[in-house]
Amino acid sequence: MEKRELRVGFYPTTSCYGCQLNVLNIEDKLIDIFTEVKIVCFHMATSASKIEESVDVAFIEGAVVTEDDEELVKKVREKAKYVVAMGTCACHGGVQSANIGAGFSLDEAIKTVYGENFQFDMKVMPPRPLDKVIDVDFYLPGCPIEKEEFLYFLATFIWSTWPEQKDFPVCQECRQKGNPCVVIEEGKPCLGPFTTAGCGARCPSLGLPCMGCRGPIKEIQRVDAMAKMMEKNGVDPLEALKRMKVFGGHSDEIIEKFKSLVRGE
Amino acid sequence: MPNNNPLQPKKAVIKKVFKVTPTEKMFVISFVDPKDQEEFERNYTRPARFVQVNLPGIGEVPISLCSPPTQKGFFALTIRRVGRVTTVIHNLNEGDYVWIRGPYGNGFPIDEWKGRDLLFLSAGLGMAPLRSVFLYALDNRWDYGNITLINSARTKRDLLYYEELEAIARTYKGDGVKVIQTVTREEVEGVCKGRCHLYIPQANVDPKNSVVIMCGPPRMYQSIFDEVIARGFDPDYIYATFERRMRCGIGKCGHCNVGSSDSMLYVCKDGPVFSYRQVQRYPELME
Amino acid sequence: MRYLKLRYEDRDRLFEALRKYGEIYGPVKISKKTYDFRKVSRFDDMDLNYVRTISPPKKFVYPPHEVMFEIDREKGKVSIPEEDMGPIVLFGLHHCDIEGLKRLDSVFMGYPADFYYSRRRKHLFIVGYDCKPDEFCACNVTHTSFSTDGFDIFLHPLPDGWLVRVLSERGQALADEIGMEDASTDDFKAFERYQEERRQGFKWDMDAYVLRGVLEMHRHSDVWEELSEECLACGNCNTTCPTCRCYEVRDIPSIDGVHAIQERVWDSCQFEHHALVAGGHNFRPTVADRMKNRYNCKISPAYGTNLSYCVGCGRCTAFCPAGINFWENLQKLSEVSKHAK
Repeated sequence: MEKRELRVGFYPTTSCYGCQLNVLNIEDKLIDIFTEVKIVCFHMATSASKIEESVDVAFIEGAVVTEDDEELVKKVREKAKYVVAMGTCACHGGVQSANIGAGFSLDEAIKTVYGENFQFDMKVMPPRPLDKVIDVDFYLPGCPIEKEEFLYFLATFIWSTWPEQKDFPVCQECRQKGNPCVVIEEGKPCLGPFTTAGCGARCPSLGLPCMGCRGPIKEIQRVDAMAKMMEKNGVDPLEALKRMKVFGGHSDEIIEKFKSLVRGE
Repeated sequence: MPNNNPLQPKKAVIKKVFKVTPTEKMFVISFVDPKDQEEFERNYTRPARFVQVNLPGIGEVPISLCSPPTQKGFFALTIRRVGRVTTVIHNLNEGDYVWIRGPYGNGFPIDEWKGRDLLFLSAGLGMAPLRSVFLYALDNRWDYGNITLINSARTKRDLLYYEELEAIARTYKGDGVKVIQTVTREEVEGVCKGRCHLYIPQANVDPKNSVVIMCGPPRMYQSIFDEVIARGFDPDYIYATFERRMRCGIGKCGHCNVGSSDSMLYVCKDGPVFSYRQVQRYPELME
Repeated sequence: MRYLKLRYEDRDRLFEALRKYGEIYGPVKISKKTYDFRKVSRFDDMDLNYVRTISPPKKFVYPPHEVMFEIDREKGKVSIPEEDMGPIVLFGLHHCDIEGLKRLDSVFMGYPADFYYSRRRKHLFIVGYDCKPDEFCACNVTHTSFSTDGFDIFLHPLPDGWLVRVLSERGQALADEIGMEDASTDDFKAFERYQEERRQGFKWDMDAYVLRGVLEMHRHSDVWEELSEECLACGNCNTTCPTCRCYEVRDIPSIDGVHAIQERVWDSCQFEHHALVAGGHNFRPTVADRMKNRYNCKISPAYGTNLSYCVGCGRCTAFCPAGINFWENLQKLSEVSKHAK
């Protein structure tokens, strides 16, 4: 199998840029990354970045919030063979989407943050995950992304294949580590059963309940069962839904359940 | 390096690649080490067993053998481009290496069928494992009675081995071998129209002394079971192959389990070929 | 088998003598409510009154991640990694966990024997320890409440020490080294009293052999929808089960384009992908299907060995975050079939 230079680009939309920073934080492998692949665009790393050039793999960080974001991701989609949604903002809409479908009003949000009569020089929209705007090939969740998982994704492309994504919950990794279960132990409102694995159960390993920062598992979301589990541990169902919404704002299952609870069904 | 690890794949080389349909390619492969080839041939006695094709660093997939045990020095796999690993395999060329372990699975109990007529029913990719059985039967022509093979697919260009089967039909004309090829989604010259079971009445086999061998999507099995039994075929001689997720091929990884209250089976080890009587005993096979 | 006695004050001598059979792992309290097998340096580090550990002993012979092959694409090599485990003494395994290991043995060491499991398994020295059941224990239901093999020595508490059943040849040598005395008639009586108390302690009155049929009769029942309503599909029942052994194989390439590993990782039948095949067909598409499969897989016997995989340890119930009770559900199913016409 002939090795061919892989062309890779990193593109930011609206987010904290923490995922891109985490790529740059892979210090011991950074030279290898830049040697093995051709970085076509990565504004945080090189001023020689070119948005217009075609790439094999485009890593897009952030949620789509502005008109510029939308234009950028559509342009990238056209030039990229594979698009990877990088980070929970791109995969699920991120924390800024927490109130989507639960009484979110863009005007009110702007007023709250910037005050009355604030003038933007850009057009703002309610935040959306990447796949509500363009076709996404692969999801690399995390807030921020895990370095190991990023390297795995990149390596599969170098090996002219693509990554297998995790479709199982944090609990799997938590038990494999031999941790006690924070739900059974202390009745904590842990989102582990609901959240995509990959972090090595970082929070539960420290005795903290999972916040769900890697977003809900795409394939199957047991919203009712999660709410019931938390209710047994004294968390009000609406409160439980709000917790799930922090990183799963755009999940249809959660929004539906939320609306039915608010309507008092 | 020799070791006693049953999961150790052996290096093999792609000798030839044929494009069979727009989505399927046939790979003719042989092991690099003649000892591995010998061992493979020793273990491949019943047709339609399968191998695990391993691309180191990329992944592993189970693929049915489409060449019969009577062919020596190589084996053949027909692979549909459907997932991550098969996409990479499709990009391989003659001279490229793949790693193989196997053969696994039980294969068809073809020695128990001596003296009987054979009726093959295939839909889609099901023709790949059946090819190995069909060719085996032709290579041992004196052991079996009349043979009919009904090959079906959606369109003519999806029919696996269309040309090869037509050629065989011409060669064996007058020797009790009949090939019927049919498509379900189009009307086109040279092939029949409709599902394979429509052509069972045209088979040149004696129902009471026949073996029915089928491979296709499981949802076609029940209607064919019903149909052939109603037509007087012997229920003790009906066989089908079943698909499940498989990772190891030797009954360890647990994915292909199928159970009933008397026992849990592994399709990879106890199958993938099951008789109609086994299907009655393990109804989960049909689910 | 020899039936000997270890006096309470001789426990440290046993512990010291065990050291030559490997690093000693025993039950340790790791949090308010949870126990696990951890490395211990003294007999009294162990909490032998534990009921169950959160992770079963399978992790010692069948770790969550096992690198099967190291790959070098440039050299065209697919090689097995060096062995990374030395001898281990597992101290304090209850009957259910010993039976669990026996079931794993039947799978992984049945023909053809699994290379990785076998090379770890030969390192184990097993010290059994008797126990009293809690409300989740049901080894009486699964016919695994008393192990007669699968260990080297087995300790049964007595008022002043332990009755020791010495099984293996290594166990015999160990017993001789410590110089254990023969057990007396009084010791046997105390042993029988303990067994009687154990029997009284079991909560669930069912028979797994009968349940096999009960489950099959409910193959197409709606009851699975109802039972799985609260299921989170999180796989905790699998990771904590001493006999769950499904694994997924993953290739992890590295960015140098040359080196990679192929590893196997624990899988769970509760996950979406477990019965998914290429092309997108899922043989068990719903949570109810997957729950039904797990119950069947645990209660029905394996082909050829007639061993059921459930050993009644109660972990799947005790460690289910949703609080789903395996035994209660099985009882419900039995009742449904009682009333079914």
